[in-house]
Amino acid sequence: MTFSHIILKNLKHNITKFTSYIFVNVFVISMLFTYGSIIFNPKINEDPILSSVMDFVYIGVISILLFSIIFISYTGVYFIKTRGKELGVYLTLGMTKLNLTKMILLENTVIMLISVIIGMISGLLFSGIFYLILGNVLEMDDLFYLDKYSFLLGLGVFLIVFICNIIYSVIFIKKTNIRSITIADKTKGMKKPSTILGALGVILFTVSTIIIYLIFTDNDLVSELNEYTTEAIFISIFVQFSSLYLVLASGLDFIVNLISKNKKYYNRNILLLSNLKYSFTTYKTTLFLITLLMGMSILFMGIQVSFKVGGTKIMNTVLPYDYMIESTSEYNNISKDQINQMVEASGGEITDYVTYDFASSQIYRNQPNWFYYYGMTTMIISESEFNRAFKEDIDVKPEELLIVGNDDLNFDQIDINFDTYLTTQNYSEGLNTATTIRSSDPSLDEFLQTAKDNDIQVFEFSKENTSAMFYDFIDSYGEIEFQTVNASIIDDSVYDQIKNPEISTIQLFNVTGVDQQTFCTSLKDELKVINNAPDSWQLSMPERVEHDTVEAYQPICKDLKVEETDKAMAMFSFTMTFISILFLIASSVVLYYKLVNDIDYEREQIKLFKKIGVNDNECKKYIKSHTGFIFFTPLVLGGGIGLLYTYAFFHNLPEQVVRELTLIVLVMYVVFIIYDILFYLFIRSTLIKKIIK
Amino acid sequence: MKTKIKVENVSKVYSSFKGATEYKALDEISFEIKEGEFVAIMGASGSGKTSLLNILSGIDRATSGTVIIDGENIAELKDSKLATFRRQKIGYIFQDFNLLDSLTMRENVALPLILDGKDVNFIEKRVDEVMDYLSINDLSAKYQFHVSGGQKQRVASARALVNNPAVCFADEPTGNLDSKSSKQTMEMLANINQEMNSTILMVTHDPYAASYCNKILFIKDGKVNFVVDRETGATRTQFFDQILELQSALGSED
Repeated sequence: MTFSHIILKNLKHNITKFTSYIFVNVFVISMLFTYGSIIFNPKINEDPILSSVMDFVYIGVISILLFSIIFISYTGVYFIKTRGKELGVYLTLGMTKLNLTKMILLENTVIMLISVIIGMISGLLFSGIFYLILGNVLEMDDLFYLDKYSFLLGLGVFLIVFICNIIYSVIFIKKTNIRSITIADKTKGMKKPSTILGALGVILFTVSTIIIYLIFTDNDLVSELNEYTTEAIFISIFVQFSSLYLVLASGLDFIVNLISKNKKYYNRNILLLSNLKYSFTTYKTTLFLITLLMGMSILFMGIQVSFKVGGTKIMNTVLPYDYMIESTSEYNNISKDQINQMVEASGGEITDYVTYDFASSQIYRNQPNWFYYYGMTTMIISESEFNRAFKEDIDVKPEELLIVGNDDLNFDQIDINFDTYLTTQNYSEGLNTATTIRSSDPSLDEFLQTAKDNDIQVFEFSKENTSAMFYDFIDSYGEIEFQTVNASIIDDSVYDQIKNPEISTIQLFNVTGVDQQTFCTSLKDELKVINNAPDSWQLSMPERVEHDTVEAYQPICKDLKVEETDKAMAMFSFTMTFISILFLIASSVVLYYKLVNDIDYEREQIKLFKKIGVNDNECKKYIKSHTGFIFFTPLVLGGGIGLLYTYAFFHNLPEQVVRELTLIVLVMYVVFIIYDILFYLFIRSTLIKKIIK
Repeated sequence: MKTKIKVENVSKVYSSFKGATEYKALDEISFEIKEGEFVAIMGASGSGKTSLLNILSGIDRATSGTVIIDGENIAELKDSKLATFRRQKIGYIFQDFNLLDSLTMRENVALPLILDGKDVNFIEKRVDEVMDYLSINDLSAKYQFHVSGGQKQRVASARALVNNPAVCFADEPTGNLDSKSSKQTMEMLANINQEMNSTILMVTHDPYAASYCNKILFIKDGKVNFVVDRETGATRTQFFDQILELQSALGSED
């Protein structure tokens, strides 16, 4: 028998403890690996539509990264700390710290090697499955991609954190002594109940959660925060997460303390309550982890659902017409008759047709002490032109401004707290002026002076005379971002004052009886000839703002846009769903291992109960409720946090979409609850069998 | 005097399992214990002491025979009834205390009454009484890992007494204690026996602890081998010497 013989023996004996630890490592490596391969995948990055959702993939990767670091370090620290008794025995028997360090290093190396090997294999497997499903969803072949960078990301992050852990372990051993280890083991991490800390945790958590909610919903109560909103959000989130830990560790001390005021109730549940207090103290970090995992899983799924549902809804409001052609004197010189001929040639029929003229303009706004360029080109439409085109009967007085917007069902409720200044240069000159003005950051007076000096025409509308409304007056430009388009409607008498207006024309129409995609292609072909545009014209995506190049004048085909959006959305949905499911599984596995690891302790506990005269049914009841609490606390707390942040993602959407989404997201939460209940029932019966029998 | 415990022809056979041969821990054992007696059961390791105590206290069941405690045949009780019976009629003091980590000392004492669903005020009053009696009031709010072994055993004794049991069983109550704490614990048990007229049955292999009792059953091979009563007027030290002599005499029979 040699020293290494003992180490190996020890490794074998501790295999169950090691399993959960290795599982965690494998999970982290394979997640990093899979998402790394998406980031570096050239097919996805080169695809203009897929790459548009890469930002969200980055968010996913960053959360996985942060999570990995917390996850690996936590399990590492926990791993060494829970073995206090064992280490104490070794030290008592005369093992030197150097021996102990050697042992830990060897163990860690074995764990690392196993983790890396299994992690890589499962990473390959994961990404294989991932790309297989993604390819099917997107109807794209050969998406599978792996390169050294995906390997490096997975391995690199893992190794760095793992090495930090080893360093921690070595320091831990160096600092440790037999007495402190034995005491720690005797108290099993139990501490004096800290009611005050618990109360503090509960209060801080509640307050920070409410503040976050209020900020997200732009509640008047927090409107005082104004420019400090960002700081307030960050502080609140930080407080929320730190106090969550307190809540899990000591919140129950506080709650049980409150409950114990009602002696009768407390007595009836004394075993459950006191043991829960105990478990939450010893489980706090596990519970914190599970809560975070659960919260993230719900958040990712929630974001996914909101984008998907919200996106489709918005798609219909921002693309009210099948086709839109924007014409200037230079581009898209096509008449209604020509369009009609094309439609008829394809065997179809135009069902709706709207056309109107507008003049290009830049928007500046003035609020008390703040004059600024609004960052947007607007369309100025005369009142009579708008009424004629949409058969409306709007009356705008000469001093009035009516802003119409396409993107928000609540647009007529926006808070108009600004005076508006419209300049009427043509598109490129207007942009030039805006750039100059933005860089000099003038006051209103300086701006007006500059405009006067440069002979720029400015129309001024006070906030009292400004109103806004939502109107389906345009097919949005843009890709999946549903770019806002604003138009300023002014009285004819004011419109007529515009000097040398650069007039463009919008034609909107619906077509039936044609294959929309084929028709879209032939429309593009036709316009390409008319514009004398390069061949690349049809391939490129319409740019959003650059209105002075031919690229911006591609016709907008709703069908094509919907398809592109669907594709991007599929990629987005799938990536998010995948993360969400993995996080959910991870939370279940961590919980499962924790409970299974504690079976011995629980068995002892039940034995003791029985000796004192607790009967089988009471024991079963105890196990059920005890396990139940441990199970559903993360679901409630993590779920709550997940739902809160999901809400933050979609609360800005139109009210009726928000209402619908709230319902859908709640249904989604119910699905999570059902999953948890099923898992709970499964674990519960296993535990009862193993503990009581 | 009323008979508190009546054991008639009780056998306990551990059936063969995984190749181990059948083993008879108790062999048709019979004896009686009257109200107010403080009895020790002594015997070597493997003599059947613990099996007997487990059967008497309802933790385990006899293979055959009857066990009547306070007029109730516990062999005939169903599991759920047995648990209730144990809660109400039996107090148990364990070698390793068996206090719950998660409860304060006061809550541990109150536990049997709480489990029995007693009224809150009654519980408070009763727990105060018992803890006063054993002078452990100052431990009330403490947890197990804050108190010493001797203190734990006092708390465990308080728990055993709190429901005014018909019989109190003690399984090697001094087994985990140093000599000073052992002495205190045994004095406490003797006081309880005298002042409260409690019936106490204790299993021990420690002659010193046994010398506090007024009757000793020596068990060997699952049977009562010898019974000795403390003579009226004999001091504890005299009884202790008598036990030592008996032990060596009985031991040398092998």
